[in-house]
Amino acid sequence: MYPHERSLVKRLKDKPFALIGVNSDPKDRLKKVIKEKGISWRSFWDGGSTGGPIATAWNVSGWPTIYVLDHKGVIRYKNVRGEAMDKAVEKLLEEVEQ
Amino acid sequence: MKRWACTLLLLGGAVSLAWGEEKPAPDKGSDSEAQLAKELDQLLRDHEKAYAEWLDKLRATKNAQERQKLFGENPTSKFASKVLSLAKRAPASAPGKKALLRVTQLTRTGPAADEALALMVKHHAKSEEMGDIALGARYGFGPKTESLLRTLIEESPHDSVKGKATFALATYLFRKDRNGKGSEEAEKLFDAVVKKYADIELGRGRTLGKSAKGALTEIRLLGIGKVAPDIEGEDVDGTKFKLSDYRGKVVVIDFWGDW
Repeated sequence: MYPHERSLVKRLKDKPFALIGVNSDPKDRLKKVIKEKGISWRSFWDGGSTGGPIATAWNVSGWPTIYVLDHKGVIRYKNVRGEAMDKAVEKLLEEVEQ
Repeated sequence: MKRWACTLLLLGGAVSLAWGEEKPAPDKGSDSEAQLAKELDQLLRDHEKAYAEWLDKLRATKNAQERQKLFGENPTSKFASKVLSLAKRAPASAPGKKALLRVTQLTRTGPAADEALALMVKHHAKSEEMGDIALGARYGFGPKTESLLRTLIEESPHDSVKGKATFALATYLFRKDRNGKGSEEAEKLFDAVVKKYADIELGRGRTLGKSAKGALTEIRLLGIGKVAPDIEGEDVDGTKFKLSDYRGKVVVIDFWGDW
């Protein structure tokens, strides 16, 4: 997961794009992971467990769970990963530039 | 389902059929039932032991190749077939029911699961234990899943079974077709769960009502085409921020954990 996410963030750094995490690890663990694995995107810290308030509000029961929003905040894709994620983001970026 | 697992199940099924023919004819009365119960408990203990040993071996593997080889040695499907054979000696009895239930917990698809399910429906359709079968079915019990659940909803005399089957059918349909028609019927069924069966317990502090409400949130607020609800929270440094801060950008929200 991390290499793909890292390269996506790097590739799109000058585009109207953001990768936002919602993390379910204990805080110490998250800090460690960010440092050691080069996590280059911001995450909400969801209270330290998979039962945190954000995951609960979004009915998340499997990890990872992905939502892709367009520039108006509308949900357009769910659970796309790897190349499918790249394609979805590309398509939505075209809409911003229109 | 992986090919090697299918082969294992088929082999297990074939062997258990052969064994079945050699057993003495099923008997009268509580003596043979007590005997069956004893043998079942021993068999379940044997399985626990074999499974724990297999898990230990799995933890000790050093690479993907070793792991792959060990996956083929999972003892569970062999035991599922043995438990099924036991059950078939007296499927209508109490230990028979216990054995059939166990088979459906050990294996979800394949000949052993299908047979155990059919026997449960034949001999124990009105029993309260069908609720657990229903819950297990929400991830799919093969092609008969939907009809089984609809039958239970209609015919079970127990509210707990009706509730669990309604919830399971909703979950099954929603998972099958998360962004299409599946979620239309799922929404109606989850609504029925919240209205009629909310307090039925799912274990681990969850109730049917709680889980159904979560699913309804996802269907109603988090479907494709819906404006995402805002998120307000803190990052790892304690700095507050919101999802809506990023309006105007394409956003990927990634629920993740490092494990």
